[in-house]
Amino acid sequence: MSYNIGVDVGGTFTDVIVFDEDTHELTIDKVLSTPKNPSEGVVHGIAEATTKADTSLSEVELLFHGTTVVTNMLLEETGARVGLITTAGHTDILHLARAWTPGPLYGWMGMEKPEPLADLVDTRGVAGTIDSPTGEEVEPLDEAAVREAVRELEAAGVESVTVALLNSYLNPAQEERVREIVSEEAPELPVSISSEIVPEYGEYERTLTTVINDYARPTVIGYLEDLDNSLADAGSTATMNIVRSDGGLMSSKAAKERPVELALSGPSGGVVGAAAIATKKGTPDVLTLDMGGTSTDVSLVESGTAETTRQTKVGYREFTSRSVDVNTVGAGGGSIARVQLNGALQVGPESAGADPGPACYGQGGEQPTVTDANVVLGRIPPSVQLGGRMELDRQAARDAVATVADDRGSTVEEAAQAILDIVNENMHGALRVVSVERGYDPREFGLVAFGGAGPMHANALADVMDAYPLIVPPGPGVMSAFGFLTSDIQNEFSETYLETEEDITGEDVYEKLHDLKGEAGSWLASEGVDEDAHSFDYFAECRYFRQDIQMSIPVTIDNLRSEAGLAEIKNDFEARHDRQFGFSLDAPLEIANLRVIGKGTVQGVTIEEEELTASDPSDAVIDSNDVYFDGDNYETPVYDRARLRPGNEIEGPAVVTDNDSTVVVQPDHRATIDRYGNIEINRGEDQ
Amino acid sequence: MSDSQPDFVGEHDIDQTTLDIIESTLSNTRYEMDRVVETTAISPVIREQSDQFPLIADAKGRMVMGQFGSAIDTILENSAFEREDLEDGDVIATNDPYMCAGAVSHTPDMLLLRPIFYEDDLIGFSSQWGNLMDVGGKTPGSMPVQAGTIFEEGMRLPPVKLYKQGEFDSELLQTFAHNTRLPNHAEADIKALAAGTKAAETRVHELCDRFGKETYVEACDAILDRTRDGMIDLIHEFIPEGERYTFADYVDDDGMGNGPIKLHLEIYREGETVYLDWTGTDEQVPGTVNFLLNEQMFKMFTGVFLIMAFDPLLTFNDGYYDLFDVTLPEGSVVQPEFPAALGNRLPMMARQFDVLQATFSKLIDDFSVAGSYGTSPNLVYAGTDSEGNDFQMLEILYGGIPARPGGDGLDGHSWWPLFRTVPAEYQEAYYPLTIDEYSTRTDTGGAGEFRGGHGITKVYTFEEDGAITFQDDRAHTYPWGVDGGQHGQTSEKKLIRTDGTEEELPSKVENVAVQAGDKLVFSTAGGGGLGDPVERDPDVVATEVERGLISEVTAREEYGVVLDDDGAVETTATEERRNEIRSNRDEPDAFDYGPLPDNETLEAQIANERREFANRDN
Repeated sequence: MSYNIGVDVGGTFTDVIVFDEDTHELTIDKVLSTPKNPSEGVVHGIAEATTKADTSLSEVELLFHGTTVVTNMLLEETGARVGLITTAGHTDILHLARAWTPGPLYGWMGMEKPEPLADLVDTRGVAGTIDSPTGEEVEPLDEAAVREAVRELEAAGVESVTVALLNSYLNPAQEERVREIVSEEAPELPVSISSEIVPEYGEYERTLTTVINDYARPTVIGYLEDLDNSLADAGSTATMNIVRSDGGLMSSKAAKERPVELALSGPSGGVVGAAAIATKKGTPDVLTLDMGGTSTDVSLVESGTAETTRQTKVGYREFTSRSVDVNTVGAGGGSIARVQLNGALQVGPESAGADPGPACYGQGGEQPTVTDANVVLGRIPPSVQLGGRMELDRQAARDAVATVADDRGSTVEEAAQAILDIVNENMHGALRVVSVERGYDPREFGLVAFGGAGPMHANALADVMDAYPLIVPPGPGVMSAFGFLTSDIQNEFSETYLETEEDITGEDVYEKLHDLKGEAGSWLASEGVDEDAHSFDYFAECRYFRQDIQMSIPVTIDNLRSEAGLAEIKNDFEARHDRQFGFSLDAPLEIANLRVIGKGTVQGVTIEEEELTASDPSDAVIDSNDVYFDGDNYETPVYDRARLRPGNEIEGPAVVTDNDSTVVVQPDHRATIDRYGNIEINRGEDQ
Repeated sequence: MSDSQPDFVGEHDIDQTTLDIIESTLSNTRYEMDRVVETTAISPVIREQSDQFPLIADAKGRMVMGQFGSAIDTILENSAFEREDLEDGDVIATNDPYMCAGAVSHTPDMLLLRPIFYEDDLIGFSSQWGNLMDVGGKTPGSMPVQAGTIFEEGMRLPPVKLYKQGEFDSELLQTFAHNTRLPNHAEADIKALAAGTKAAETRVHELCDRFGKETYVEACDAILDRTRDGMIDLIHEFIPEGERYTFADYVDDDGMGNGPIKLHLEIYREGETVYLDWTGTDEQVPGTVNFLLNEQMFKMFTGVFLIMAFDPLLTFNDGYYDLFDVTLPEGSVVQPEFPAALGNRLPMMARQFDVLQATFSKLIDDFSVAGSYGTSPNLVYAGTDSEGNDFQMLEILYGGIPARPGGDGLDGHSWWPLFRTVPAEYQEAYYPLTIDEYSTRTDTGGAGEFRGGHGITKVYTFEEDGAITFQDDRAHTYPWGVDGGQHGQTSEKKLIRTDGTEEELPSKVENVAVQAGDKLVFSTAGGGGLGDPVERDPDVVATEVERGLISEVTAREEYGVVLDDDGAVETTATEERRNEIRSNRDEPDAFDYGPLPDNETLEAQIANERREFANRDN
């Protein structure tokens, strides 16, 4: 008997999924998170879930763990005190923050600029110069100054050290030497060097990213050590895999070195899981919609692979780390609706949060939220207790939404519909950013909806974007934990290249990529992946000479050595540039970066396939009530998802209740339960 | 208010929610236009500094969304074709400020204007302009310091069709690019701007597909009307009727020995109309700092100030333009006559904002903003390297943001939104120079309960022989403090030659020869402070001393904060020192202009500095 476990630590709940490798059964559990000592909640959740699955921790083979610990640390600014050693003359780098102020005009008047994560007091400049672009050392490192700086910083009480020197992306030798000195002078302090964290040009982003790494490191090291120890004490021999922001996995050891890679660990799981489900279903091009209480994450999956980005944003800070390209908007079930002075209705980004929560929670919330609007319109049927926990205060929801109706001179139902239309539009805007603006036509994509509130809003969004089929997977509320189980071990190895096509040959690029592949292979081996499970993807980040874009062009490495050489890359780039921007240039191609992603396949979960049964879903009907859609009330049946079987077909309008979410099927739509247990929604034939 | 209300005022036959959706889509589109341009242009000024400006207008040419002074009527009037001659797929290009009423205010700014058609009807326009690296003329970068006419500032396109019915006129673009020092940059950047306007067209088409053309057009009217309503409320609430408020401030000089140059603004309200009168502003000057201020643009600036101060969620657009009545005296530095040179209009543009802020500080109770670092300082370094390749770098620099209501000014940040510094590693990789220092100038922001932002110092070592051209300001006049806050410090420029000799340079110079190994120390001005410095939290002062942002001397002398050997606040000594400061000073004026000499002396200083610079041994 062996089991794999996916664990997703969120701000409020920790979700656990246990997968039985023999029976392919999934067991889901949810426990409260323990933000003060996060490993406690994880251990507790695993213990509870394994008991529920009728097994024990010692039977668990693989653990897949994603966490919002780093995300929250950044948002709440609760990380470590970081010492920064940089190049003399450039110590104000984080303070000056590239001079950026927000738009529009006069944006500086209200700008709130958070303090740098490494204080100026804890920043030291040291002499030493690397020439650009040759990478030659033209002024030696002032080692005595480094030694003194480390002693001072340690005495001042810093908990970790970042080394970020100018031009280190061309030659890391001085940074490496500083790291050695730090280790000699203060062996217990974690130290990161920028050329390892982001081996690319751009001193501000490289410094910021490395400082974030060290800001998170002491906590993450402590957390993962606690977790490893507690699990070992409880008899676990399972291999721990930590989920990265890009949806890949790394070992606990690697995570302690590079916690910045965990900044979006949580949301990536849902996207990877959605990609796996959509691929299995044979619709590998999908948009994903993860709508929770305060925000919604959307992303795009093409050919079964989630789009990734090099720029990761958490709160105010944007840094260079690979992550699933998740676009977040402040639109969730708790988003508050308010009518502005000029009559415009605004929904979010302000949220009622969990306390007091929406008015319908009956915890004293009076402001109208998206959830209240859903309650008013009957989309959360009276038979449902939200999250299985609360009795809904329907009158409070109505009273709250009535304030909007009064301001707009409409009926309460119209006001509720308007709140939904606006919040849907905000999500629609976010989906457009990841699709239309990047040159993808949403009509060629399906939509996978999850998160507590996603399945309630997704049908309206699919309709406006014409993105079908709409897929609501089983367990939409624990999609991230499921997604972790579908992840592979993965890391990327990149190098700044900055060469134009005139100066290089296909063979040159081949050599570089081949070297990067070597690095990736060694890393995979050090992560314990057997060589026959290694696979590699190659990319050239391209642009016209001196442009700012970096279009990631997939490279077939062996073709580089053929006659075609670089032509294949250039043609692909020009086609994409033309598709996205509508023009191409008579300008040389520049390859800004070369990148290899090394993957080691891990089999965490198998998606079960079931036989289709009869189409009649009437056994699953548990209730019926009035639901308001676009100006009319419809008598709408309520189904219990647990009783629906593969093959069942439901005509809209319908509401399907699940233990952690509610699925709304709009009029003129048809839902079917597919052989994997997904609810698939399409427009009816008459549309 | 003008005699008749604009035609968009009234009831609108459109569902509220649809209106909200169209407004938010247009708002997103405006940012999408910027992103398209930023990612596809190749000039660092556009890529890294976000120096471009989007607009979506209705069929009458009124800006519905964007950041722009729309002058579509003027552009069409100055073109060879009529409105009826516009066709689907046309894109008009111009970079002549005098042909677009100053919608772009110097020749490097290239403006593209695309009429948007739907079902054969003209339903609007999209437009975008951006700062090209070079458009020819007497200096690299096309922003000479010493030019008497716009003819010295490069190639000008009158409004002409760059695309005709979607067909790109490559010969026209070639002709233009041929006249610039960086033809490839010009071509790519102009195409990027066209792509930006195309993005807007696509989105507007989608809105028409989704909601219908009539609804879209109605929505544009309603959005304008909504903003107008919001602005009427703001005007009533914050601009008192009856009293007249004035403020004057000075741009240092025109780079040819003339200055200081006075900007004078009077603001008052009668009924719903706010009068903004620049009478009293100095006449246009011989040099290149003249600023052809677009009337619509100034209305936008004024409205945006009120919106950002008091109702940041309100969309700004042309809807409120009939509520502002602007007087721009012909032949003044804010309305120069053709063919006055315009290349370095930035100090005048920035000072115009300072004056607007100051006048509002006077007329709105409990809302004051101090004076700024005073321009968008910029530097061009150009030449031919030892391998025979031409190089030309253009960079914008930043300084001290003024202290603002409820907060300190930011050190070394940009007063114009969304600009970013060019990475030193980019500059060192692509141009023959090194960046030896990029740091905050301690003590240069004006002291105050809220401190003015500090200027910055950037030190360049040039690695090839070449020439530098730069412009800055606030080298003679000070960024003023307000409500007891103190003035900030001035800007400074210094060349350190390879033999160690140091040379102070004026704030505006052109084509100064540099040799490999020479260093330029470029220091920008701080921002003014706000409120009484001895009211500043002593612990904040102590922290800033520890961070090296304030010297211990300034802490004691200006803030009255005495620190012990560990840098902690000595409470009793601080209290005594603060009392001493209070008792030894006069009641502060509303504005602290700094130790300015009288006007005649300043005029002589400025003329003399230029004379000495012109006669220096070189």
